[in-house]
Amino acid sequence: MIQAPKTTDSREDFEPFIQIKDNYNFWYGSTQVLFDLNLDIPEKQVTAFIGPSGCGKSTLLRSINRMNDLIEGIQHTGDITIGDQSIYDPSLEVISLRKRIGMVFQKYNPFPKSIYENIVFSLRIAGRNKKSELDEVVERSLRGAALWDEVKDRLHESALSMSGGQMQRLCIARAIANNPEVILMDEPCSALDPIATGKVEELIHELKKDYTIVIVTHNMQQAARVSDRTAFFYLGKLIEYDVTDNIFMKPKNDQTEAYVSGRFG
Amino acid sequence: MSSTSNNPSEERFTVARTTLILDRLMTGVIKGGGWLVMLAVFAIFAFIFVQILPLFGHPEVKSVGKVAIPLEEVAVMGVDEWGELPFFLSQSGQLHFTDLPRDVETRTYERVGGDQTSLALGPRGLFEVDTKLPEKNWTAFYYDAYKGEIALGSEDGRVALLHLDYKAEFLADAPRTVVPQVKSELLPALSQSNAPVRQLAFYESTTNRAIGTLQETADGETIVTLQTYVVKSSLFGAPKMVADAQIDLGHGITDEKPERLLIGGQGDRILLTTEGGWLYYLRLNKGQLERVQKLQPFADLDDTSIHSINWLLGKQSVILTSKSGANITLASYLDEAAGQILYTKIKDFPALDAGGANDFSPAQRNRGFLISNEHQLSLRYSTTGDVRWETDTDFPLQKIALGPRWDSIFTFDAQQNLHVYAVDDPHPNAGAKAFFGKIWYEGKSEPEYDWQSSSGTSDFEPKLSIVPLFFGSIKGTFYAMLFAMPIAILAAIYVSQYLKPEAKRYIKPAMEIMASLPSVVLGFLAALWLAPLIEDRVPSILLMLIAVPLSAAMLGYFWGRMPQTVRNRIRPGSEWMVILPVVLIVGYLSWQLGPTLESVLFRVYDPDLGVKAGNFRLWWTETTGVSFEQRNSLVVGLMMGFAVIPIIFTISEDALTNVPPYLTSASLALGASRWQTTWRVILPTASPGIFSATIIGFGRAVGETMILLMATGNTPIMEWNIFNGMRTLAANIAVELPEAPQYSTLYRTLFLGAMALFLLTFILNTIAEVTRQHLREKYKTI
Ligand SMILES: Nc1ncnc2c1ncn2[C@@H]1O[C@H](COP(=O)(O)OP(=O)(O)O)[C@@H](O)[C@H]1O
Ligand SMILES: [Mg+2]
Repeated sequence: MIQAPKTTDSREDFEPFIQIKDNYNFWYGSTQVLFDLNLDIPEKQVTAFIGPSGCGKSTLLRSINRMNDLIEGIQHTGDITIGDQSIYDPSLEVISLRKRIGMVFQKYNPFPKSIYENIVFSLRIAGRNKKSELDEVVERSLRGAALWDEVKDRLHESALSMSGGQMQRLCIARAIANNPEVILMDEPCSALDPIATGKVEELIHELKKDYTIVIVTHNMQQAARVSDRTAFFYLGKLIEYDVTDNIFMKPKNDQTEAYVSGRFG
Repeated sequence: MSSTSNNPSEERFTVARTTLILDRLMTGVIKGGGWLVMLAVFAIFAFIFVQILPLFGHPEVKSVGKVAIPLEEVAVMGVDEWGELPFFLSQSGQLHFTDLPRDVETRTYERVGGDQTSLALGPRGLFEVDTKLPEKNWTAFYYDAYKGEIALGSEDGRVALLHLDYKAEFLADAPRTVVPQVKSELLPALSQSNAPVRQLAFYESTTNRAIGTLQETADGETIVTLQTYVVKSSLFGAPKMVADAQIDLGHGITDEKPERLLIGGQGDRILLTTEGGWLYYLRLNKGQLERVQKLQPFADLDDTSIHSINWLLGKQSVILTSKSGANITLASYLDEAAGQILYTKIKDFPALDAGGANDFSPAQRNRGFLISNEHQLSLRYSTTGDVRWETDTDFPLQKIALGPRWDSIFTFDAQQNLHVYAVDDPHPNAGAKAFFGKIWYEGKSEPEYDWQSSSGTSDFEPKLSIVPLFFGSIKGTFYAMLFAMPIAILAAIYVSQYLKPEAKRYIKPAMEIMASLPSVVLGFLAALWLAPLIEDRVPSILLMLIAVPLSAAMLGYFWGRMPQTVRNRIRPGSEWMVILPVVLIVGYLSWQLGPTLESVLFRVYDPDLGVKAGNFRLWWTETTGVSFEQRNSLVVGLMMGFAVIPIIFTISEDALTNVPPYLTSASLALGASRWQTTWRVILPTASPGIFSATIIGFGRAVGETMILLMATGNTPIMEWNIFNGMRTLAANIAVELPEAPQYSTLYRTLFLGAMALFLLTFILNTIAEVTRQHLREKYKTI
């Protein structure tokens, strides 16, 4: 068993914003899928999770906003904190946790509503219905998602009338409408063509000025292009976690090296 | 692998022949099956349509032919059941019969002559039958075709009775022959006067008899007398009618000259008209004459005088004509305010062209009549106010008679020709007005929609409006849906969105069992268990309806206020463990507290107990003025709701479960609560499915028969009152089927009900499908 490296191995020192700690373990029923994870994620940077399919990247990502709670029979040990607050604090309502964390899914999933209503969804559920405020949020979010110029004339058309890449950026706009602290992205480009992918990657680059981003990706080049730090997982264990350049140029671990050089995956 | 080609790869791409053949075969079979289903539905539709079409048809009346009858001064003409032996009674009292042979099978008459318009007389020809009455000059006649009774009044003030009967005789070598049987009776002279009898009315039952006469004395005075008879039975011999009392009907009518009279009721209702056009309704009450009503039927005309007045079958309605030819129906009804039977105008027919009627012949099996003046011959129907058929004759008409089976018309004209018409009008009481219109029926105080297809007596007026049945269907469905829809949809939401997925393994089969309960069992339970249970627990149910949702909402509110640490103890999906006990306890308390509530809120005077007491049934009737029946819409709503819930639940639950999970995830990840997710994302997306579920449930409820049949009183009333019943289109068919002979009006009317049901569901389903498509387009997901 390979011990997970300490984050302090990194050349850069940083204040961790999200901390996966106390040997975080995770089970679906009796099947353990995450093993003894300890991982510090920096604020306002892009952290990429890479690793072969089924190694638990999505599970870990969904643990951060407790989306896994919906599944029956899950268990965990260890803790996750965001800005020093534990997400498992009994006095914390899971809804308010999720309001602080935006999430973008593998497959774009706009609601069957208008573009406008998609974006203001998080405001409406918070009971904020003032038109001027909503308008402002729609414009800010769409600009933030680099979509404003493309759709500003058809805000009230169905979101489903857009192209796939636009829909995914709409989902990003929707995720940032509520000004979250963190954006979780689970393979956001896997259903997109290369051009749309390029746009989303550019967008991620822009977004990290304001948001802490955690991205799961299958695509090594993408991880190399967009992320500041990269964590490599294998069979539910964190194999190596470092500045992205280090992971790709001079991985310390053989498995990491094998993976990033495309010898398995 | 053998191959004819050199290229080995070619075979890999060729599809096996059997695959192709099977593919084509299956395509054909499936297509054929689809078309067969469509064809079957269309065939059912067409069949029903063909069954109801004759209801809206017009009668076909054809002239069959004529025969010369050299008789003078015909006073009464009538015809037998078979239309083979019309009779003529002359003013001198001679009774003649005409032998008109008619084929037993084809019901056609034998015709002679080149033009084939003359009818052949049978071997008996025109023959006279001795009435055994003394020769007199008869001046007044009353004929009741239904009973075969003729009363005659003479110039010297005597009254005689003739009873006419026909018998079919089957002789060895001849076809059936109709033989007349005549009985006569000359009544003892009236004590009052021997002045000529001008008008005559007659009533007879097995227990009494009444004869009304209008006599004109030499000095121009009019005497109207009612002579009553009662049956005296002696120890030996047959019971005998003996004179009882003699009553002066004209008593008190001084300013008006009596003109005509009719006797109805049990010989105790007299209608007397005067020359000024007034109608007096007089009643004999324990030998005492009462003047109940005085009305002027033609008050709106310039000439108000009454030209003719005749009973319709059943003697509840009279048909009147005015001098100018106006033709109306007056009928008796129970006047609530006056507390007694009164007469009022219920129908207005088109006026006759050339003045009042000169002859009249009521139908003997329905509310139709034949009426004539001069050249105009008109077949009319009182219930619908319809002119069925009309013609202008070449020669002025003297006498007319309607065949007792509503299948022939006989006229005797000034040229002494007897004309015969064949009538083909199987459904005289049908038509759009009868089925869909408001009709003023005999005995009713206003026009209404009513259904009452049959009764114990043969002279009853059928009421065939399907409007109350349609209303009943809608009402039953409404209350069922009111109960079933919220429960089923909320349950579907709960099960699909909140409950642990494993629980579905138990709930779905439970629902299927619920759906598979035969509706006859549900109806049985509703009628024999639920109805009596609910009957005296209405306050409990009201309390439950309020208290249970309220307590659930309150629990939700307080639960939300609880610290997170407490709430976290109940895992999502297990909330029912908290709410179920509360609901059960509150439900039980409501049930138990109902009677207490009743004795506080619904206090009325209870005639059984003689004191003021809590009694919801009485309170309801007293406060709202509408009735409370044990088998009511609440029972139907609950039981039929029970039958509909599984359907709505299953389809809605599927629709909700089929909402793509990525939409739920998106919503939850944005910080929406489960309810917000359900309300804002799941429900709109599943709305087409839920909508379908509702409509399918609706269709099930509309077509449901057994529950309604058993759990309601099947009274076709049109009230939304939840505490009385209804009669639905479907239940009506089941109820009436045994009483509907094939091809009868009722039989076809039941098909009309079926068609209404068919169209109702068809239209509903179409609207539903269109709406569903629209919703689906609106809420379609990627
Ligand atoms: N809802 C679930 N229930 C049970 N097992 C799951 C569930 N989701 C994922 N898994 C299992 O957990 C492991 C990790 O899955 P996942 O986190 O999706 O991997 P990745 O995103 O890295 O491909 C896999 O073996 C997968 O089969
Ligand atoms: Mg994944």
